[in-house]
Amino acid sequence: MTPVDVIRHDVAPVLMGYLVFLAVLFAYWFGRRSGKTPRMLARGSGPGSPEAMDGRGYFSVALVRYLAPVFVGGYAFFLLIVVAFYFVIGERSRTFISQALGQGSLFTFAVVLPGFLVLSFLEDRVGRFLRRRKARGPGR
Amino acid sequence: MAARASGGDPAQRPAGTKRGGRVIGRVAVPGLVGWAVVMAILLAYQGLCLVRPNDQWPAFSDLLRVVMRYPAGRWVLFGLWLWSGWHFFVRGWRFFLRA
Repeated sequence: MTPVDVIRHDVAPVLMGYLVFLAVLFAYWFGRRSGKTPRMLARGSGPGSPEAMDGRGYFSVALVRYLAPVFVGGYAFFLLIVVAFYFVIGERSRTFISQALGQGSLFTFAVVLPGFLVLSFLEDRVGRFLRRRKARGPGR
Repeated sequence: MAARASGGDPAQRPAGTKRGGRVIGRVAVPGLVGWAVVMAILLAYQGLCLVRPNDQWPAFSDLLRVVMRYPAGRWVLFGLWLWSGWHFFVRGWRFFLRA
């Protein structure tokens, strides 16, 4: 294995992961400088979250409007990683990109998205049930 | 992939090569101990940050929460999550996800 192979196959992916982590740290530092300390942020309800957009319930049109850009943007970034590493690593398999497109879109939109919606629906129902039970009081 | 470069795969080393420590079932013990120590330090740090919420030491969840406030941050994190799921679990699978 030549040094160039080591850099392409091993150093580049690890370095990219480390750079992403540094970007996370920078975003945190930038957020703190602009006064958005994380301890002040309410857990699970950011300004763009469905709860803030629609106070009636979690499973709603607001959730779909919140999820659509996340899924499309996330899938686009996933494809960007795959294509970038296709050239960086020098993957020789012809099916690499088509595998990513086919399996990636199935994974994203046929497995993850329905799973997330079902779990969100269940969380919403269970939360409502528990709140109703708490409001009725103990023993009733 | 990384194992090739770091020499971590003992199967690729010449027979009789000793590389710092005992080997159990073709796995180097110092490597496993190193990972155990690194993970212990990370989890201890995360735990300390969580039990003392009002200090200036950010927990990993705090970092992610700040990043998730930005749309680009959500795209990047979700894209990385998708990629790791595809790379480790889906890629090469030949059942209903036939390429």
